Amino acid sequence: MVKILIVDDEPSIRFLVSASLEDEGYDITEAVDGLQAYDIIQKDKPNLIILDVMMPGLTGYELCSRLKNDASTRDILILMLTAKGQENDRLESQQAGADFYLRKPFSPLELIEVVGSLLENQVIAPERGSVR
Amino acid sequence: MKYRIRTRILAGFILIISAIFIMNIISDIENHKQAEEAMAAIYRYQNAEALVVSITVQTNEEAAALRGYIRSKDQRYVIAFENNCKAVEQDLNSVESLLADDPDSVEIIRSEISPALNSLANIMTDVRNGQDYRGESDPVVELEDLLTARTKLLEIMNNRQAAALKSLTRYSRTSYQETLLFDGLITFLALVLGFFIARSITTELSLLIRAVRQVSEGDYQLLERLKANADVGELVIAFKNMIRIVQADKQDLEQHNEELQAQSEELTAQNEEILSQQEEIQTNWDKLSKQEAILKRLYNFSQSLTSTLDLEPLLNTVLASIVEEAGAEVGAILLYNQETKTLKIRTATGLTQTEDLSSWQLGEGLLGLAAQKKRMLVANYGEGQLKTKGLHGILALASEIYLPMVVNDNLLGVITVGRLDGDKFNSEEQQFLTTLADQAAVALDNAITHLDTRQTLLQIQELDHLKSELINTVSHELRTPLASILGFAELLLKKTNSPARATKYLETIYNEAVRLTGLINNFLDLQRMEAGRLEFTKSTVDLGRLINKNVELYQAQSSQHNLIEDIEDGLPLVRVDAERIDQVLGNLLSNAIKYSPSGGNVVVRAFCSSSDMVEVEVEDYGLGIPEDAQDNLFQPFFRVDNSDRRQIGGTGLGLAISRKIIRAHGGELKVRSVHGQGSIFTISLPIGKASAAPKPFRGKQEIVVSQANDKVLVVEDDQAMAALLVETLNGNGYTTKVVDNGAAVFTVVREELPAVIILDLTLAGLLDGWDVLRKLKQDNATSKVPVIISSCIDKRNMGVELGAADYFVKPFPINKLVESVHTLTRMADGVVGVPGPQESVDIEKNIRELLEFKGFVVQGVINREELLVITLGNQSLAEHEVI
Repeated sequence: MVKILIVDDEPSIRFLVSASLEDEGYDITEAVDGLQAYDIIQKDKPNLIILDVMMPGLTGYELCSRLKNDASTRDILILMLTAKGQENDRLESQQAGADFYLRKPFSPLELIEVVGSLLENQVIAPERGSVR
Repeated sequence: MKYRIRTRILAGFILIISAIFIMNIISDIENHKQAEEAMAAIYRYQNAEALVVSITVQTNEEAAALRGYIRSKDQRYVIAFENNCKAVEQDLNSVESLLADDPDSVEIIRSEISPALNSLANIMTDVRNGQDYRGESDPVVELEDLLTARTKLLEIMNNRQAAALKSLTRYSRTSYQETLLFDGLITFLALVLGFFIARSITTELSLLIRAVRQVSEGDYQLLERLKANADVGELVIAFKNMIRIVQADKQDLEQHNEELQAQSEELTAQNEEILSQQEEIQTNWDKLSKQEAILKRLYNFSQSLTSTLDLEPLLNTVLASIVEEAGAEVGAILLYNQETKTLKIRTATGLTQTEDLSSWQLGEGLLGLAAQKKRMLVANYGEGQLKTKGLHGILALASEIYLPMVVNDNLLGVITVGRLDGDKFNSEEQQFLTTLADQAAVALDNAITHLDTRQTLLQIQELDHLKSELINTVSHELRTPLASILGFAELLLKKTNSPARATKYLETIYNEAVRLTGLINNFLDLQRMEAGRLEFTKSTVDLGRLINKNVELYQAQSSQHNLIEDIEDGLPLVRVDAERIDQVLGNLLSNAIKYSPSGGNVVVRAFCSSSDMVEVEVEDYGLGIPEDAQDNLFQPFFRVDNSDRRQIGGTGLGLAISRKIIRAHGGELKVRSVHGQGSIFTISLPIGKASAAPKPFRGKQEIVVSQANDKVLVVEDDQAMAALLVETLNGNGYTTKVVDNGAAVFTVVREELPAVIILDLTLAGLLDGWDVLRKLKQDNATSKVPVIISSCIDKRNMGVELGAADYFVKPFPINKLVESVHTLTRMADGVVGVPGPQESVDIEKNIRELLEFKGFVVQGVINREELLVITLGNQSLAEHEVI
């Protein structure tokens, strides 16, 4: 079963993401911040992480870049959820090594599709927001 | 002198040659004539001689014929005779005519020859007439006389011929002489003529030469006088022309020359000016050179001043430099405090007892005097003239100088230096030191200004930074609830959900929308406050009750935290905008919870800090606030430690808004915090007028709704809103009627007389909500019906003025409106009962609010057992004390 970890300090967003993916047959785990997420990843490596940027302790970018620089966690797909300004979130996502990013507010249906595509191909067409 | 020289010379010579020729001809003709005359005379005399000879011969024959006749009487003799006679007579006439102009000869002919002939003729006649010849026997004798005469005549003739010949010779000689003379004369004349011609030419030429010579000497008079004729004339003309050209050229040249001259003069003048300027410059240069040394010292001085903008080092540098420049031993700088009007020593050198002299009043001593007059003062104690107290008076100073530092007529302080030796401060030194002091003043002023400016600049930069931080924050804060709202809405619309799930989604949407509204309201509040447009509707409020409400609210939101109330008994009521104070309390409590993420106690205390101040403290034991951040904590957009705390939601506006609200109430919001240990936020509010010390009621009661009149008229053109109101009110036991335009209101009001009217301000049709409200309040029949305004227009004060019973600005919690409807319907009958201790505090609150809304002053509820009776609609009861 595909394991997805949702990391967001906002309960409403965690709820939204998990609600969106609820019916897709994923094994969903939630973490309220980066540090908690890191602990979970060490214990039980997920296939994909949906990661918020603005989080206490460890920001989404920091966590992402840490995971992507670690050989043992490099293969985990990371989808960033950003709520920042216009251009630099794409760049920062890219620099952090994220596989994809979605801007808040995002469409849950698109999220479902993106998650499905990422898991299926591990590559996403650039026009849909790929950072690779 | 009209002719050319050639012509004249030719003419002269032709004339001379012609004259010579004519003279010669005349002379020759004359001589020839005279020679001819002489020759003619010779011939005539030769002819006459021949005739005389012939006459002599014939006379001899006559005499011979007579003699023959006498002797023979032959007639033939007579004829011979007569013939001879006739021939003689003829010849004689010829001789006579030849010699007509020779009287001597004629005389001889007539007196001697003719009578001799006549006598012969007479003899013949006599003899012929018969008479005998009586005289000498021979008639020839008779001819003797005749022969003598003839000889005489011939002699004359010869003489005459000789004379003629002689004159001929003479003429010939005369002619030669004359010719010679003439030629000489002619030559002489020619010479004279040539001389004159030459002279005439040379005169003109020499005149011309003279003229030219004079021209060359610049005199044109003679040349002008010269007549332009003949050859020299042409020369003169040519020369004149040449002179004219030369003169024209010369004039040009002269003109040019004049110009050059003028330019030259100008240049000369300029040159002189330059020279004088040069002299001036030189003079100035000398002065400048002298001043340069001074300036160099000044420059060094000012350079030393620029090394720092910090006050203390600057003052030390100034003093050290001035003391050195002044060649002084002691010195001090005192700064002027405008508030206390005193001068205080900031730095000193060479002074030992500065403590005693550290503070000076304006006008006190020489130093105070210099400061007061803002003028330099010099004291030369060596002369023993000035006895006024000086800063250096304690020392045996020879002289001291006081230099006030003044910028734009503002006294900044005084610099003073003193010398211990005998040298006085001369005027040059005084001037130099004054200049130094002026520079020091400017530097000091700059340093002070710099300090201010730096602070201001830092503030501005910080504010700018904070604003961009805000944009990021706001973006994040707004997107998060929006993401939830949109996301769940999409899930609801696009996916099939179980009813339970759908409800959960909707609840989330609702909560996030409320959160969003709160955020937006915060922004708007701040904006209004910044613009000074926030309205406060003050009422008398029991702070304890407000605290209680908020504590309950936030306790419900966090199980990690333990919220503790500590409210002083008998806390006085305050006159505030309840809603805003509620907002502040809520903000402080939510902050306390947010910034103590690991949970723990949150204590809320309320007490009287003084007779006229109430204080509310909210204490948490959370993160605390770094000391350096505490000053900025209440600045709009400020958030502590962005990287670590961004997780903690908020806009950075809460505290700013809170402090503004509290300050607008005449109070203050402060913070005390130890980083890492927690924070205490303190609200202090003035108690205000006539606030008895009531015993505030606290407790939880059920709302009892009076059902006297349950009709509510909803005036709303937004169907969704109307539906919401209807549903809610119906659910609370009210009957409702909805109209969507102003005109319909009056019919319904007259027919059904509703207990309450809920009125929207923006309506379809001619009348808007304001019109409806006015008309209702103008009509006595309807003026008593309470009207609740429900609108997105926030004009609360206007609504109250027009007589609205309550005012809700959309969006608002629907239950608040229901509460208001409850209150109003129970009062609609004119009597409101406040029941016993078991009754709801909300009722008391609502009554209070309503009364205050109507303009009453509720000082407090002393005894809740008492019945509160108020007659509504009595407009004269403007302010009434209700117990």
